[in-house]
Amino acid sequence: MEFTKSEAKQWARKNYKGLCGTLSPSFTPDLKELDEEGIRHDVRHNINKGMFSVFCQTEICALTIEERKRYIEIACEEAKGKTLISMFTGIDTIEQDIELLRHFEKIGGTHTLLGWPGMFYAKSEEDIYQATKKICDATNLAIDLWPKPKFDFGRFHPSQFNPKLIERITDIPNVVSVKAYLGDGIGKWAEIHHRLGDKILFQAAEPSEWPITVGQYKQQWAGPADYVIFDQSSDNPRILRMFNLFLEGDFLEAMDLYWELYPITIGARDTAFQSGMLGMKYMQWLTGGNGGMFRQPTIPIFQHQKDAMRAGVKAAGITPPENEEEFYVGRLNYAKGMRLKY
Amino acid sequence: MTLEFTKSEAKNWTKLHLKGLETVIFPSFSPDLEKLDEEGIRYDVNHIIANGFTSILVSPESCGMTFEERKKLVEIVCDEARGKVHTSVAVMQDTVEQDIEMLKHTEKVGGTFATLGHPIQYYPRSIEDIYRMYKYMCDSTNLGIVLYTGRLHTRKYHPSYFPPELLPRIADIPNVVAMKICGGSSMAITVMSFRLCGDRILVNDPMPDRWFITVPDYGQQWSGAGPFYGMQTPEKPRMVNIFNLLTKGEIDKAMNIYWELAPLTEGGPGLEAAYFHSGIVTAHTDKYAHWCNGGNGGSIRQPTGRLYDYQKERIRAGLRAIGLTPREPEEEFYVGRINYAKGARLKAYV
Repeated sequence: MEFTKSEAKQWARKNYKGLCGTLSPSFTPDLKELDEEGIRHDVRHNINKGMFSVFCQTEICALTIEERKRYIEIACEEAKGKTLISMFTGIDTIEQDIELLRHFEKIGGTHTLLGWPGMFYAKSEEDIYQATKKICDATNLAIDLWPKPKFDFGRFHPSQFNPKLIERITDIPNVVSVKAYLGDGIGKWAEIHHRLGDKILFQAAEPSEWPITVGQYKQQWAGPADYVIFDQSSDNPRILRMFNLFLEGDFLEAMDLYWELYPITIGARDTAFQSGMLGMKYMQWLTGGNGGMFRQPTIPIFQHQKDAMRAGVKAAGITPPENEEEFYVGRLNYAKGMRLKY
Repeated sequence: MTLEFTKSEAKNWTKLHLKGLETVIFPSFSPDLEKLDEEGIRYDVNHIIANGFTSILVSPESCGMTFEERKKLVEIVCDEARGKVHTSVAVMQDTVEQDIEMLKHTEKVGGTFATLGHPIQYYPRSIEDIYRMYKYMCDSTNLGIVLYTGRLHTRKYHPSYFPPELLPRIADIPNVVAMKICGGSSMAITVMSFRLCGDRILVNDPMPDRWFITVPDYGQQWSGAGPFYGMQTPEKPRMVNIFNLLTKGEIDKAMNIYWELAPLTEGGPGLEAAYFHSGIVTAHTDKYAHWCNGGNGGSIRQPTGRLYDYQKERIRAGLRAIGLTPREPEEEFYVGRINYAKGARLKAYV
């Protein structure tokens, strides 16, 4: 690691600048094996569109732990020397999460977005704190805290994650940032901001919130999120330009881009989320990503959702690919001649 | 195992033997989620039988499992249920080849039926493509096939999400014996299905409020698979009683029980509507409700989403309102009832 635990917060302040994109696994068309080339393509897709970091989504479809390890390995190899690599923590159990983090640290990962696994039922806020500390202590990676309502801690605090507890967790040396959304409650966001001050980085990943969180509060980075879906070309991506303009204070110029991208930010992206992360993979494919189907269990994408996503990217000036079949087998596999059966 | 019918006998055999309610079984795991919990699964099979259900549908696609684990789950359920109730399996996993392998495996380990949908890695090129692929899968097995169109959603061919002209054609495939309507879909799809193939195969709408029309007026003789154990116990098998009373024409008596259960469905459709348009099985919710009523429970692997306190509270409040006493403590649900009895607990980090 390039930094010690006590240097982690400083390291993040120096290195987290701009946007962190996302990566999801690609498979061979029979869904039996990871599609290494497809994964590498998507890492490069993120790098080409200016992401300072790429986040490996580890939890979004069925993978064995060995496959999860291999998947993050491929991403680390491809990103080496070009961009930072992050991954999601919080799958089935804390022990498994720690095993994956240790592997990630060994192969060149630098930071992780920290959630809590499905098999963690907190009995108290102290329990949450101790479990979190146990994970943080087990790794030298920088930790980005993700106090999202989905982790089911609402029984302890009406905000779904007590801002006081967030403040306490951020005292752990390698916790370097907090990812939160205005959309989870403006009061919650404001209290976290008030409590953290300049102690560590705080950010909202949603582009729709940036006029406030970047324009007004000057967050220096955002993500992870699917920022590759906003542009067709890697030449001077609009999403990155918009982020930088908000940060530099060119508010109205940033707002011009904001409205230009709005058919994706709101229309297409809302629809994509109805199909979960597979919907997002479809959007990535529409804008140059590899695509490819996930294994079960996954939410399928329905025709009306595809129509809405296509309409959104077109309205934002992008020409999406037409051949649906390419999405199913993955762009690279399709180019090699692979087709769906039957 | 040998099936009790040949392909040409399949439709008649099913008409004679498939009656009553089919419910669904989800996997149970060890508390570290690393292995299947065989005892927990067997416990659930017996709890389902004690509830008076006549058929068990294995749901191997409902959470992250290897293919070998999925096959093992089917094997355990078939073994435990042998000679007591029918066993079926939901076949709609990753690819056609994998689904065919699962059909063959199910037949080998003693299953009777398969609820056959379409794998996730399938995007039809034409209406004929849908028919051919489906026939190809049916031809690969001797199991009785329950047609399930609910998760393909091919709106480009017909606004009902499945080309209606295929229903009678598919119903004519010898081992296609029944059809399951997807819960939460439009009543028009149900009526259309009965009209187009109800004379050839046993059409079933699994939604209890529809039974008041589909059983007396369309002759529906079985229903499921649905998580009916979330609404009843072996001591008070009200869902089973409603359905059986309806098949005997005792509609008023069935209606009285239906209204006893009304507090459970107040507030309108929730999960079931989301299910039709998301395709995600609500295994966590169903497992929790079953555990409240005596099932094994047990958390399941990701990716399946999570079950929140407010959702659990809603389930518990509904059960109390219909006179049941949901189980406690919560921790037992997480590790599974059988594991809890053996002393297994959630790990403590404090």
